[in-house]
Amino acid sequence: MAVTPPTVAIWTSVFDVYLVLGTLVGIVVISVLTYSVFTKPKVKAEVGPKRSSERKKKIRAVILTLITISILTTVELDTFSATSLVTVPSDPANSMTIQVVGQQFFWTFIYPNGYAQVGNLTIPVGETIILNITSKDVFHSFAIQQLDVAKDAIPGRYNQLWLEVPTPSQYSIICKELCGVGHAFMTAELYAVNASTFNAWYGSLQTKGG
Amino acid sequence: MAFDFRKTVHRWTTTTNHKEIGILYFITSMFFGAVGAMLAELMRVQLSVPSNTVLSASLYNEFVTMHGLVMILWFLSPLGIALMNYFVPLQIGAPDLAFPRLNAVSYWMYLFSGVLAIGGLFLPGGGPNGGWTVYQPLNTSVYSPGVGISLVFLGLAMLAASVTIGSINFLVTIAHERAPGMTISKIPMFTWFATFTLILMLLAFPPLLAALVMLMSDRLLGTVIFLSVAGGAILWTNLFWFFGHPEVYIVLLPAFGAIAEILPVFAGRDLEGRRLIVLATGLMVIPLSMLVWQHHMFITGINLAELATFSVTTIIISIPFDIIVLSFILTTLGGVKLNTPMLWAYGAIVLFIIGGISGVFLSSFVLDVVFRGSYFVVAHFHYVMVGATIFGLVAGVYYWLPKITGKMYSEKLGLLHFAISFIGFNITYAPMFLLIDMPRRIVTYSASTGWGTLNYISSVGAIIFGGAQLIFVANLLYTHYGGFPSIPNPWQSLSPEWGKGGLLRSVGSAADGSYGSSESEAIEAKHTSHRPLEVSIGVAVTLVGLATSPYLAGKAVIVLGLLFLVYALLRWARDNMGDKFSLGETFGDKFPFAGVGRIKLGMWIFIASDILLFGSLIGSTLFIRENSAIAGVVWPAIGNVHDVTTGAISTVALLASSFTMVRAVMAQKAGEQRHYMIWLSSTFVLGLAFLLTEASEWYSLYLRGIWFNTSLPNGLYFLLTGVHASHVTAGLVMMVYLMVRAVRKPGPEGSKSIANFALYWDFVDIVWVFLFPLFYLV
Repeated sequence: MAVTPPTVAIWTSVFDVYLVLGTLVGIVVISVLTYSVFTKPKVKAEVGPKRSSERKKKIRAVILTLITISILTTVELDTFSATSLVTVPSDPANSMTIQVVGQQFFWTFIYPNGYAQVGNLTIPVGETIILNITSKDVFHSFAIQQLDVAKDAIPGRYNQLWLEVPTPSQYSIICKELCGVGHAFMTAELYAVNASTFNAWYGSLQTKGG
Repeated sequence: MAFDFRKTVHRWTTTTNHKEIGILYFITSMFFGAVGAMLAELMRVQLSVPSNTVLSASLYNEFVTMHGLVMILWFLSPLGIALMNYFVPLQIGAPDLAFPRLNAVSYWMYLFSGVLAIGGLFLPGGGPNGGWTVYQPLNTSVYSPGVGISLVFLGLAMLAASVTIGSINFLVTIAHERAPGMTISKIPMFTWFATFTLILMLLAFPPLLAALVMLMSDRLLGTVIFLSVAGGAILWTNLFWFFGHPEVYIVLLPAFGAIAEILPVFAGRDLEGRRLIVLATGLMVIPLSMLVWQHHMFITGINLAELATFSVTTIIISIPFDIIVLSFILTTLGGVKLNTPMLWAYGAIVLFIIGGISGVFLSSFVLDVVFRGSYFVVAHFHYVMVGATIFGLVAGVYYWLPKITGKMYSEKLGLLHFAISFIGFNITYAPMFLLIDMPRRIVTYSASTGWGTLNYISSVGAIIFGGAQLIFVANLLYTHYGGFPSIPNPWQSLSPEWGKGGLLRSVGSAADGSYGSSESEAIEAKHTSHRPLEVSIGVAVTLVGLATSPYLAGKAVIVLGLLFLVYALLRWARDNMGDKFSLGETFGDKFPFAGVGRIKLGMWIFIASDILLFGSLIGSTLFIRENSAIAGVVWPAIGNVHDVTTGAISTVALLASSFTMVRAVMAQKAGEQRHYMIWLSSTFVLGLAFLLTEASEWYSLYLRGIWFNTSLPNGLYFLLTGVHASHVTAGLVMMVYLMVRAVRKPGPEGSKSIANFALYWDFVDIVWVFLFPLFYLV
């Protein structure tokens, strides 16, 4: 399996399996229940009510359990087919590592050259970016919902996530863990720009301490 | 009949009758439910349109936090306990709970814990605003100072105590007080689900209590456990979710119990797979619920092996629930009678199916990256916790209302209540499934996000769903004041609580419509008591003092509360219940509790919960220590801070006291009063020697400038040995009580409690065997 950074397409393909099976099971099961609940019970015959035998019941139970287990196994294997979405290789080729520091109530991004930038993260398209995420104060959670990536920012810990944006675009970075009064506004912007634009900007930076 | 105010107040404040306490639980939980619902409605108003400013961010955060805490811990769970109080003894043919006065203590502690929690909102600085999950270090005093916040967390700890006492009481009752003939295979389904709920409560609450003890130590004593970068934040998430996930089932299972009673009655046939449901819940749900907590931590940076493990355990735990739901559905095949309880049960199952399937989505650590902390999760757990749980419990309330009141509710209002609730519920929560990108717990959002329409629909639904509950209140009032008298068993149920099988032995249970009132006041009067209320007031006042202890007045309030508590306990000790109160013939002599008395069984269960408390504290210390090297926290070298000799002396004293305690038990068995007194006093002296050695070490450390707040390792030492010392102190107090009793009443009768107490004392000694090496030797 080729190890590539997470893409929306992979997440969506995993999600679709859950969605199709989940919806199907939900509709079937709720329909059966609703049909039988809204059926008037038949007046019971005095003699020999037609109840299914114990043996039939056991077979029915086994079949239903097997169906359940096979559906659950299918979705679980579906998840295991996409572990690249949550694991970060130690040193992927051609990558840039950026430090991300969460703090009440803003995000700071520190580039390899030491340049620190608050509130927006500029990256080149087509390059693997590794984010090394931590927090200076309380528990935060770094997330770009439209790119299907997220990792908690925890004091004393460094969590990695990786991403690659194929075309120039802009996304919102949010905090997903309640972190205090400014939580809702702890946002930043992700700008993915052409490699040439990025290199020109990055080369012109004055090195600053984080 | 004239309404006599004084008599009524006296009756309800002294009651120990399980039915009356059930009614108190019901009314109180409905009140807290209304408070939680008001908070929710205000939040939905705030979120109905983008960039709204009805609530400030800080107020919104307080509401979101208190809504979660109040709804789960002071509404849903106690509503289940209300039904358990009323119907578990009736179902198993017990005259009352095994410890009726402790049951009253559970209730009053629950009531006052809720009052403390709500009261926290109105103190300067407001209530907690860090979410019901109370993540750290946000909720330490560095980031969230304020006495109101402390008060809520202490209220939570008080609730944990109430729940622990209650679960011990109920488990002993179910194990021990069943009527002759109530064999394990005959136990009704509601009691089965109650049993599973109680076991989970017993396992889940001690870790929460341990976490709260450490949090309050951070807030009040200056330790830095959760503030430390040595894993403090992640330690909290582990402890909290170890409690938090089983808590979901604690809330849910009583509702399933009600549904499992209702379905067979309205379908007119046996519950399908009855035995399979019991086995699946007991053997799969309970153990697995302790092994899934890290699925709440999928993006905290745990490794792939952990992700895989907890994803698989989570998917496996859905299997027993599939079995339960499929059994429910198979029971309905062929049609049912559609009365109000059945409709609500139907609603509960439908909503649980949707909540359960969306839960399978969340078991995927891949999908969870996006769902975590989003409105998809909010939708999921409201379908489970509101949909399945409230609909199931309301079904139970309608079903048993004729039994409780002796009158029939209005079927028309019941159907209307269901229809509007079911529609309103889905309008409220279904749109949230689509708000996958919207994070939870944000006070507002901008119009450009495009979330406005779905939020607006959801808010409209919330008004409809909330408004529908007024019909419930109306129906309850109608039943009480104007309902037609009901025949004794209107549903023709075969379950014992309706009087089938002649098992009813509960006081006052012969007459339907008795609420809780007793037929034979003479029996009742013997164990009614003001003591439970007084003890709970003492605890509550002490906790108010603790919360406000940064101020001098607060310290005075602590003293006041403790004095009152001691007074109440002394009066309790003086009531000798043993002579007045007997539960009569029970089934307790059968397997597996043959020959184990109710107090001994209760003591064993208490020790099990205390093991989990100390286990959590010791485990947390090890966790912090494991992480301290990475974080650069230096652990003191052996003998550097804690003198090994002093530690060894106290260890020897405590271990010797275990030996003398065994001799005391033997002397009691042999009926040698003099030897009994000698060995018991030796145990007391050795225990006191241990405590004094410990105190001298604390004092010498204090003189050296080492205290709770000097460093992380020191703080943990003081906290853990302090919690242990409080157990030793309680043991010494009980020994004084035992000695006084033995002097007043020589002979085996006055000393028979020693075997039960010895269990406790040995446990306290064993804990020290773990603490001594932890702080002195490694």
